[in-house]
Amino acid sequence: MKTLKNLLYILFSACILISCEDPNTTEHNGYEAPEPPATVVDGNLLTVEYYSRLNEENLFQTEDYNAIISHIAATSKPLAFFFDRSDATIGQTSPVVNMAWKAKMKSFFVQNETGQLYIQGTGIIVRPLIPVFDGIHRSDSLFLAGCTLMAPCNQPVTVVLSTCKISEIYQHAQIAEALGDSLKTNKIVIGTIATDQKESFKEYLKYHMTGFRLAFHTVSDIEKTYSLFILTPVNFVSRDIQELSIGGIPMYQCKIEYLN
Amino acid sequence: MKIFKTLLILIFFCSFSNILFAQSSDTLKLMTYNLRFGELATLEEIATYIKGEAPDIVALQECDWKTNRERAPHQAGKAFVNELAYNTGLFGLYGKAINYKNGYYGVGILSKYPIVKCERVFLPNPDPKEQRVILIAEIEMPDLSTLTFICTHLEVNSTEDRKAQIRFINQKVKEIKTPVVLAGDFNATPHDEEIKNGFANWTNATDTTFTFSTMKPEIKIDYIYGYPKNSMKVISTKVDTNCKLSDHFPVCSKVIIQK
Repeated sequence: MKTLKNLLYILFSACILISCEDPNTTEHNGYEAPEPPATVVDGNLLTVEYYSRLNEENLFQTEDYNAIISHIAATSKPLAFFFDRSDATIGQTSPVVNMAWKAKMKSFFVQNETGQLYIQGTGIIVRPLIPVFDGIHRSDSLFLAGCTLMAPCNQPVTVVLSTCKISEIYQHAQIAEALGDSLKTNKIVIGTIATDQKESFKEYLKYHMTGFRLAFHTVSDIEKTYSLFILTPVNFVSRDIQELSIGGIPMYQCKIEYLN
Repeated sequence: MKIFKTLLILIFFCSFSNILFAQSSDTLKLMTYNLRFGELATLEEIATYIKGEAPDIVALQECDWKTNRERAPHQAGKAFVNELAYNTGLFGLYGKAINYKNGYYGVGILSKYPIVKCERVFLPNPDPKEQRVILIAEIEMPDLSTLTFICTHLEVNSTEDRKAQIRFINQKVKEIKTPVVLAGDFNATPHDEEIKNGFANWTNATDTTFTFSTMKPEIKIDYIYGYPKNSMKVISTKVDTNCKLSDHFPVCSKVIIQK
């Protein structure tokens, strides 16, 4: 009985000591994704084409996207085509609707900044008809949306390809909060971020999210004030981003591997 | 004294115009139109009509996606919503209901304003017949509020199936946090029990003018409803009986969504 009493006393004291510990002394190094395998499995690569000038300019000057339409029609590899700053004017045919009409594919539009008549945003063109276009809307400060698609990897994998634009520091917290655990459902976010915010975004996510990989692609050109970012769940990894140009419009061909 | 009077009149006039302006800027023009798979007109003609009416949001039924129908050979291979979006300058959404003639058959939405998210949901089909769907779009309005717009085309032959589908829609809208507009071809008249009871908690934004058929108008089966009941104020409604581009007449309602 005495032994039991002593044991209880020790346990009680230990509990008090632990609960009194200063939380500031606990070291929290943030989340680090494990190293991906060194070998790339080509059959598990999915390709996304991201068209962007990586600055605040409109992607298209006039209807200068005929070369892109021919390119889309001639290629079957990319799962989706994103068009950063393919802005829309209310009541007028937007570039992405026009391109989808000409390419006989499906278009979506994710607004980045809204106005009464003119909306800045990113167009998405996909080949298959999709039943869900999922978006997150935080008043006028954050728009994040994308489509659920079947990626033809070695085994078909359902992915949600989304996009958003990060221009302000306060959006970092909004993105982390809005995504929550949704990356686990194979959600991949490909978008642009103001280049001077790359490090702070990385740091924010490190301490506020887990189970993710974040990759950036920055072009060393003073006029390119934005960088490309690819945020994936930990079971995906960005393997390669190739800079190309289609009809004079800059395009970044992103290869993302599904790590099964 | 005269100057004071003039000033008063001016102030009164300015206030009144502000009220008028506020109302017009909040007014939404909604349309529902069953296209009969484009059998009776070209998509350009339909687009020209829609554009002329200048609606904010349109619900479309009987929309093909790259089919090859014997009854509408001039529409072969056309993606209706793409064509209409392109020719009207609106954003387009498509909701497939079934596979049909090497393509798809379903419903669509055209919107002047950008879409935050959308989902195609299958409706109950208890006594299996043609699969029916709802296409749900959350649309961001110019004042940054959001509106959920639902387009549907309900079962034609079975009252029981239609009742099940309306029950499902009523359950679904309870989960939605924004004001909801439901528009489409319900295949039931205002006297049918499923309409009278099924939409008791909604605001009807249409009148009783017959909407079908354009050759011999004798029933009303196309509707625009608002949910919850107090979320919509109807300004005007019109069935355009001069428009014969389909076997249904287009229905337009001007409403104010109460936030």
